[in-house]
Amino acid sequence: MSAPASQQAALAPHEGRALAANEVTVNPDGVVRLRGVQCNGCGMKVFPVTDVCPDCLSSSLRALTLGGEGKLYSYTTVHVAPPGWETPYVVGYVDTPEGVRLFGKVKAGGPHALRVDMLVGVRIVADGDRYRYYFEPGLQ
Amino acid sequence: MKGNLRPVSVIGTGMIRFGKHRDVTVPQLARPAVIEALQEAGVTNKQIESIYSGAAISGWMAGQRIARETGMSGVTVVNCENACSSSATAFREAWIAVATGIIEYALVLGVEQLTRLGGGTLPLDQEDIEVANGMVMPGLYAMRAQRYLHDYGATEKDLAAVAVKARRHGALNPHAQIQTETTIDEVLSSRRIADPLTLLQCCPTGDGAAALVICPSDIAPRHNPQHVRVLGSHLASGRYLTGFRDMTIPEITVRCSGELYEETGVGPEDIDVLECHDAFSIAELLYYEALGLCGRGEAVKLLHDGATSLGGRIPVNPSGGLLSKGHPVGASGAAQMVEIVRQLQGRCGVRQVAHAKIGLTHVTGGGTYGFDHGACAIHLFGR
Repeated sequence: MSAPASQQAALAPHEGRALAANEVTVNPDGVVRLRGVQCNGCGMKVFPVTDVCPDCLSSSLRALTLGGEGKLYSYTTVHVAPPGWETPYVVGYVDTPEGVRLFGKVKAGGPHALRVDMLVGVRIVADGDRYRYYFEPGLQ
Repeated sequence: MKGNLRPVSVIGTGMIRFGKHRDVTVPQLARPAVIEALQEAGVTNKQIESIYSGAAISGWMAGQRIARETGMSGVTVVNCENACSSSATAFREAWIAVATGIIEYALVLGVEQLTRLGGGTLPLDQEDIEVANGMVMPGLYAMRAQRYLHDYGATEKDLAAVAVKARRHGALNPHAQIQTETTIDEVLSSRRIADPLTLLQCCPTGDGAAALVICPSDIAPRHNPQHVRVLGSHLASGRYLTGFRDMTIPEITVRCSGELYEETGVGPEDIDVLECHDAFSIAELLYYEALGLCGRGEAVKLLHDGATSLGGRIPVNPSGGLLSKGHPVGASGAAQMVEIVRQLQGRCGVRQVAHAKIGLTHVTGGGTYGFDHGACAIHLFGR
């Protein structure tokens, strides 16, 4: 479970893509979830939010709020990156139960603590009026 | 091939040694390759009716800039950007123009000057949602490797063996950027780039150019008795998926090669030599399987059996491949074709594949989210 966003510290500029307010769902209890869309026409699921289905071009879309976890499909520790990125950092693909694959940074004690197919949580933190997400082994 | 297409042949090839050529302009980089291809083809620059130029990051209108310095200004130029498939895409467009009878003589160019970027990973588009989260090209391949090692029990030494083979071949190629052999230990102890990939499992940054002249096969013998026929050309684009994707199966390569095999009636068992997109060690293993050289999970065995080495059943990347010959992005597709055409002509000296009659070139191009790769171009050539 993600902690209330307001309790989290802002992240450095290269801590991941900043999400706009319409890319997350803030529950009444303050828990923040990633929000994509599902097409009412063809059923395609898309994250991040879009206003036109990229497949059938329908503009009839409903919100698809993602849960707080997924399976780590694969990951790597990146040692060489463009200027501005502090290396090494870990990134990975996470498959959510909702059927969307996410890509983002992974935080762990070290890369060896990670393994393919392990359960990871999706953490979301506020950064000004935006949000950023990353993955971390285990649930909160 | 579909429709009423006339047969097309390659009548001239040219390329420069790949490497760091910082002190020249892009046209200066390409000019020797262009002149060599024209001379080999026995056509003058004034006979070229269209230029198809592939480059990814070397600036606007690379084709016109090269034409300006090779006596071909005013000729129709088509500039093609398709990431690493840029010059293979250019070749395909040229082939279509000649095969459909629009023109007789086309010049295909591939050129790139990566040293102008100053080294490091290729710059990717910041609007891309994965790039904004830290994606780099070695990272993408590293995740494929990580998953492949997990799914098939392969080891980091197996990955390193791909680089060792590439360097063994590259040491025999005077056009290769790196012309020295290496060892498993040296590969594994080189700098870590994106785990499990180390520096020597990543293609080097470099500059290069390659060129080919093509014309209808019926008039090819008068230019070059050793002309090489284009047996097939296929270009596929990535399919956008937002859900699960098996990263050990390069879907775009499976689809592109499958469609080309179907169109031409040529199968993987017919191929004598091939150049594939070994931008990183893991890629070559994945492509053995995707191109149908072996079954799923069998790539490591195929490599260790020596089948894909020079002298083996189906030599892969006799040029040294992207890992050793180098990978100036936009030039790679054309350079692969130069190698395969020369292999089929029996001109490759110590790295010659014996009795090579049919050859294949395969390039992809990635770096954008939602796809296995954005582009994949595969060509078949035959004597």
